[in-house]
Amino acid sequence: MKRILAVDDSASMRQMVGFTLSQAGFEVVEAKDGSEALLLAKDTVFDAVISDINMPEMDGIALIKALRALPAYKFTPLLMLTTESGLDKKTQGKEAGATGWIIKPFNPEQLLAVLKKVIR
Amino acid sequence: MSDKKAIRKPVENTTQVDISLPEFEFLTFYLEEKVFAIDILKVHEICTVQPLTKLPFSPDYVVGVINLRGAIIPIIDLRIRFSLSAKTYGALTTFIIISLEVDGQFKLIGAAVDKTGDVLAIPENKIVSEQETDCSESSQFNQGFVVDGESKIAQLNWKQILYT
Amino acid sequence: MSIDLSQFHEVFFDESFEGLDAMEAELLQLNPETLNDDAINTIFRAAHSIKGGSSTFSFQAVADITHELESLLDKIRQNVITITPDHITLFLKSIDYIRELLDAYKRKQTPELTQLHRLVNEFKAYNNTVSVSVIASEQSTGQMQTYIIDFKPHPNLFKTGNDPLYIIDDLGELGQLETKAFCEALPEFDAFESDECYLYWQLTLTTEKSKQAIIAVFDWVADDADVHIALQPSNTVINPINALAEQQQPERRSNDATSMRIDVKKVNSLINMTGELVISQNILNQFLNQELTPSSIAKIQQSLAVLAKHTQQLQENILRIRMLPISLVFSRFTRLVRDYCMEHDKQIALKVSGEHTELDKSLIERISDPIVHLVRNSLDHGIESIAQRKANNKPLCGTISLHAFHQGDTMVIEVSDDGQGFDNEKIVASAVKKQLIAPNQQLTEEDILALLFLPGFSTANHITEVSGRGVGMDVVKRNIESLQGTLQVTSAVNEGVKFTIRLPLTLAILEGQLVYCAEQTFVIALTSIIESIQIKQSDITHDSHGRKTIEFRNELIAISYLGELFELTDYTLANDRLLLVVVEADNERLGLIVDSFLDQQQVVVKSVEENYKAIDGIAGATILSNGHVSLIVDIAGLIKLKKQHAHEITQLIAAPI
Repeated sequence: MKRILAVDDSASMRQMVGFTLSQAGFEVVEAKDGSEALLLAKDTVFDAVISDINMPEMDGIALIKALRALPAYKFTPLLMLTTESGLDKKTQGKEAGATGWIIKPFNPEQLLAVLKKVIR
Repeated sequence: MSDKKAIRKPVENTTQVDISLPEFEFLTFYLEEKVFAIDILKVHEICTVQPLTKLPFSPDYVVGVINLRGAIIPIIDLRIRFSLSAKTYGALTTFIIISLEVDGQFKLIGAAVDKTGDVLAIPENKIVSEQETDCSESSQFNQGFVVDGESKIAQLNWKQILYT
Repeated sequence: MSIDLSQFHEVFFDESFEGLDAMEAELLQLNPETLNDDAINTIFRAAHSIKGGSSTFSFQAVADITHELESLLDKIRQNVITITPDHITLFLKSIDYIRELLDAYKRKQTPELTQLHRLVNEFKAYNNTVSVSVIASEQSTGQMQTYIIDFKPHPNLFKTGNDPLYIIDDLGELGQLETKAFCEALPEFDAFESDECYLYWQLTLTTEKSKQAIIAVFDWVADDADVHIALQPSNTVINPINALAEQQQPERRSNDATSMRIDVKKVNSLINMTGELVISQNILNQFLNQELTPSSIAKIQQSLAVLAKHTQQLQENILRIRMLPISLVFSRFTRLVRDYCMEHDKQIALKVSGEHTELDKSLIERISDPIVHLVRNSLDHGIESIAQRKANNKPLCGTISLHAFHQGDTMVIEVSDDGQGFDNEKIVASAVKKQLIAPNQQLTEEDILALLFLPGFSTANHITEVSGRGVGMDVVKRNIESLQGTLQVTSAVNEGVKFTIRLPLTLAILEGQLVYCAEQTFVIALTSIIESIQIKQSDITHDSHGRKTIEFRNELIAISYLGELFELTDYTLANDRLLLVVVEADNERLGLIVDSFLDQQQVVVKSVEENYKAIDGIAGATILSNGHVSLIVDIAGLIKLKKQHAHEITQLIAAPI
């Protein structure tokens, strides 16, 4: 079973992503900010990470940068959840090593469709 | 007195129980020599006499409240309610705690009776809801009766007892 | 796969309301001159989360307004726009409106949208943009076309987490795909790096989908690959219509369960206590099979004492679950004060301290209004206008302070201001005018302030539109007393006023005086007892109606035998010495004669109404340590009762001396 780390400071979004992915047969671990996610990611190797950008403690960009620097995450798909207004965030994210992004708002079907681009 | 037509005698085997009619259980209790029945599903529990705390501004038959495992339960003395002679509570005196639905909420109310009797299983067709009037004080609180063998046992209208 | 999004709504509402509260709190503290990034970031993040959630869960109106709000915040954050008080006002107005919207969505009602357009336009004026978001997705052109796609990933492609195979697969889902791979770039084996991409492809795709849909497939690797998409020469034109996929409204589930958030720490402490209880029980169980000896009895007693301690702690901890910080009440005042200052010629700062002090949830809900009244009183009558303060050599900015703290088992809330204080002469004059007191009555300072709480005192010119609303100080005091609390006031001319509210921490437990009367025990709340005294029969006088009275602190108060007042027993004054409990509620005093005083103790309040009905003069019942039920006297109810049945009580006079 593929393991995915879902990171978002908003509990409702986190639950929605988590529930959708677990319904689709993934094992999901949720984290509420970058620093929590980083700790979890160091502990367990995930097959993909989906992270919100705007978060307290450690934001999504910093998380991606830190994850990409870890040997275990050199090739791992790291996806950003972003809003259409955050175009500069996409660039920043890509520079940090993000694989791609998912634009908010999205529904469960869209999330799974996008995820299919990096993990099967 | 009993309704002979309603009692179906098994023809071949007299020990065979008539299973075609559902039965309901009733708890019997006594006031003086008179016996009453209450649907056992209404009975929350029965307990012995507990220390009573008197309530202000209450009718005389509401003799007080008891502590039933932390809940405050009012006790109605049916002897007083039915204008029978007052009698001090003895070893047989029982508080029957009844669960009564009032305005959609269940209240627990205790009834002090002289003693409790057997639990009777009464077939559905022996439960009569019509009122049987006689001249006793309690008759105004009757709500039908159940037929057990040759005797008719009055059922009480608890809401009437409590709220009139 | 179909997932019911409504299951996440409750969480979304909860976190959004919290986010709005946080935004409001930060905004109210914001000083444009000493703007700090943290504050703006916190506000921005909350807005961003609400926007993300509301658009995901299709609360469109919320998404629309938070989008604008977020854009303006972003500009402020990036120093494109300098924040002004007008911005803050607009933000606050929007927060109020978003709350309304969320409330409506939560109740499954159609929200009121007229304000939406006004607010959005206000934002747009600042944002100076007309933002149109275009989401490229798989739009159909309605015609089959063939594209030639050259896809040459850069060697580092894998390091972005992307995989050309998946991208090509994705492309294949758009239509019919032919692929051709080129391996010329593959190095010699010695030079081969396993994490680099050497292959490239030419893909021929025949599809109804638009070019945008194809570009979207390569979106993530646009910077990490050379992608060239060309239409195979043919005769059609691409139709660039972008239809935004309409979001489906998820079916709403009714879920109105009221919930309460509990701090994990509190739950953990309960679990710990339960563990302790189990241990105590196990220790006691050991004695079950043992023969009793003096030493084992001593051990059992010891264990029982521990068990009793743990049980009590558990009870306290469980009650603490219902405790919430008073900040829930205090937080709304920052806004109230700010709005008031904007409308009036006053400068007022609000100082809050002890806001983490905890109080029972039911009390929190009911103490809010009385405090609002006291704060309004300070706003309206306490703090002077700027000109007036200047003339009096006071700091131009007035201060209203809210201070909460625990004092034993009591919650103390102080509402004070540094305003003009009460004018005693005016109060007396007003009371005389309203015939509440005689013109020449001698009054102490304390007596004068007590006049404020008399019914009928504060309804006229003393109260204006803000503090008024038809409710006087007497109502405030009565409301607090109905929560078994007290209200006191002190005042100094030109220095200000201080109201002190004292409340029990919870209504589930009451500090009571046990008294014995009419052969049973009653509980009287300590908060309503002024004094317990011994009197002599000869102290008793009768008033003009023939009622028994006694002089107590220079005042004649009516007295009654508690048991007789409750119609539980007839009473004759048999002894020469009588025990009298002087009680007070709603500014009225009453003397209750009882047979004896018992302990003072904390009692757990239980309902008599639950299984019976409400009884006049009885606030509830409790279970004493011997298991018997004891009734709790409702003093306010009793005083009311005594007044109603005054005539019936006159027979007390007939008592023999």
